[in-house]
Amino acid sequence: MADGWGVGQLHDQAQAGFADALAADASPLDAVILREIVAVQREYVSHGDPGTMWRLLLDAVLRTTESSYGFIGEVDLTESALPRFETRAMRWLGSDGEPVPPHPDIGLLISQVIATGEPLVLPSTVRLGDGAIESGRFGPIDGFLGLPLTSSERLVGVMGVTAPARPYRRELAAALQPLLSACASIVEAIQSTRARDRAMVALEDTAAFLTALFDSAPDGLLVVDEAGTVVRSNPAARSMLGVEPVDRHVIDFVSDRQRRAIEMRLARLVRSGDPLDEPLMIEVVRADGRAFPAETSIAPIRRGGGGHLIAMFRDVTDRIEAQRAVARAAEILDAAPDFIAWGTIDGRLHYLNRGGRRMAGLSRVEPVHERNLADLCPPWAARHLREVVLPAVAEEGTWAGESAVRGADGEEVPVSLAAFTIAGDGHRPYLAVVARDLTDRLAVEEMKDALMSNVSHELRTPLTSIIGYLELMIEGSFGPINDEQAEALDIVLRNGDRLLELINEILQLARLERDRDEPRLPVVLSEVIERVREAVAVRAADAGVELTVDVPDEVLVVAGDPHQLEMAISNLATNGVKFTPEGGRVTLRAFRQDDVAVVEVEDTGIGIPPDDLDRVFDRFFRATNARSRQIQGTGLGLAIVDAVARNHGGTVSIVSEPGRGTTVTLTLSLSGADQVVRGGG
Amino acid sequence: MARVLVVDDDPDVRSLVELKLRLEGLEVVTAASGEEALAQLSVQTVDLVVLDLMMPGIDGIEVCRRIRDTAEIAHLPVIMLTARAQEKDVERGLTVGATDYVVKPFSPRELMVRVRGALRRAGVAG
Repeated sequence: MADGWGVGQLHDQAQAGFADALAADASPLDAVILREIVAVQREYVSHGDPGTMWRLLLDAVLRTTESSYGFIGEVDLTESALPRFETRAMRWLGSDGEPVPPHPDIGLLISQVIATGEPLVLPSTVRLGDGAIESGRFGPIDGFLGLPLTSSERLVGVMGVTAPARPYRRELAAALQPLLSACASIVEAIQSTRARDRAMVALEDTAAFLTALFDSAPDGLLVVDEAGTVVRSNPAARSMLGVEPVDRHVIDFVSDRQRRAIEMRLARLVRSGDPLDEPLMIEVVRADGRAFPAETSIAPIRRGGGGHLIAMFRDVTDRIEAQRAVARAAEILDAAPDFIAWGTIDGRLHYLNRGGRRMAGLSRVEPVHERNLADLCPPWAARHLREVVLPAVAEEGTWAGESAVRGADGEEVPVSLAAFTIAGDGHRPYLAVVARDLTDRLAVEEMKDALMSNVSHELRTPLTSIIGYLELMIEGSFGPINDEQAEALDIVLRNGDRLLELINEILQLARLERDRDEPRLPVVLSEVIERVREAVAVRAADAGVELTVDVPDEVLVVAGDPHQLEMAISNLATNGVKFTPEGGRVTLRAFRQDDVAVVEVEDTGIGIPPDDLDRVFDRFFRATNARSRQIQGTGLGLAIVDAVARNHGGTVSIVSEPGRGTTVTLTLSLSGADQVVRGGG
Repeated sequence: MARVLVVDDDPDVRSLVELKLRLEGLEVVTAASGEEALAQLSVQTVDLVVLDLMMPGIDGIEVCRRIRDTAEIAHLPVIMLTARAQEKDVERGLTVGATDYVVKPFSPRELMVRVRGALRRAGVAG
């Protein structure tokens, strides 16, 4: 055992020293010294206490040298460049029992002994600085005997005594040699014991640290022996496996599917002794049967002879889910027929999906990083993007509307564009763009237009014959007709007209929907109102309704479509005449209100019931009193006015009181003739 | 007596116009298509054409253009019948040289007013 080594060896040496001394015809001094050695060694061997031992040694030397004061200390020459001296025991008491300060130059003398490794003998009172002795700074010293403690040619300590009863003799130093050797052996033993203790502590610290590391690792750790049996596990492993795996076979925790392959890998690992190049993805089965994907690293543990492995595994369910989600999102992006891109807020692209590449005629692999979104647009759309879309996104975070992409052959692909910001890197938001090809939708709209046009033609042509022949019959072109026949034909004719009106208005509404983006022309309101007055004048006269126009001298110009505006105002005037009893009045009025032109059509007619007022702009809605009085109409007139107002960015509102009359107010933005703008958007 | 060529692919409308014009004392020849109209115009003289705009094959616009491009008949008054009360159609008709237009469904009386006006302006006695 390590503990017994120092003491045992010491004992042997002490016995040897004793025997030598006896053999050399021992003097009385030698006998004394031998007794002291035996006493010290016995003490140390029986108690093993260095503190006591130091004191015993010092006392023995003080006695044998008949000195008053002395010290003993260890010298450490190994740990640093400068030798270190540590005092272990000191006798520095005066005859009265009070401590006497050591002579200040003692340190100088110790240094000399350490430096030379030889005994230093100053027989009696001397002044330092004579001969080989370095000069001291203080008074004379009352004799000094410095004795190096050397073991195996290594200086391990120094003893020093002073103030002798009789002057020190050089032979005394020689005589003390066995004692000094014994001391040195003991010091060495103490030093090696101490070093071993330190090493033990360090080793225990390391073991504790490694155990803590093993136990606190977030990954599961298993140590597996050559037979595949788990011999050690950490808490993370126990938690992930749901059981203490020690003493179970490691393969029990691998899914059936992978068991065979993993077994072979492990066998190969044990044979080769090399760790895995990269982690394995293992489906780990818990004790409760649930499985999870684990990224597993396995390495052989190199220690004498044993084929142990350490396996480190980590549950990567979340990571795999996240990877799958990202992969799915990427698939969706690429499968989408739409143009989907993102990049910096100034339009520089970072990503363009497959649909977008197809639309813009880029190959699947062509990098887009050097491109700006504007580079993929025809010139007008690029300008619009820079001047309208990107500033709007920067300010409001979103923009939606119509634009265009330049297609593979340079043709323009009309798109509906949504641009918005998404969270980017750090503090800067990114620009995201989704654009849908409108080619098909526009084609459908064109088909719808063509259909409307055809329907219009197909409905009007038979009406031409119906109304035309009726007129000829009523005129008597086919011979005289009686009153009853005339009345019946009138009814047919009136309903033919009604059918025609319905067709016209449906077509008008359809056209209003379609022509939202028609160019705007400067329209002089008073001219439009005058045309309406002319058109409605005969009807008003027939109905006995007074029709008046009230327009200002100022020329009011709005930007718009003159035909639409005439249709809207005409509808209002016709309504006014239609719903106003004989003797009433319809007024067409226009005036400026700030930067808005207001057109009002006021009548003194039957009014609209309050309950119906909300719905008069709905298509085909007819007020209850209009129906009960059998006033003809389609219910589309005001819907058309509403559509025209919307097409012009204006508003329409209605105020009515049953029995008193109705006022419809149309507001339109004023514009100078030079401010003809493109509408819509 | 003025002679009018009535061109319309719809037989009822064609008969209606023919009847009204005859009742008003005009001589009428008819054609059921643009091709037939052009053929008629190459074999006989007329004083005015009432021409439907929308017809299969050669449409009214094309017939009108060819009339204007043929020296002997370039001066003929042409009244277009259009089913589409759209400014664009009227514009197209007038661009290729139609004298006047009437929107379907029209009143025979109204058509008669336009025909007489066109004949008078062309110096032909109705």
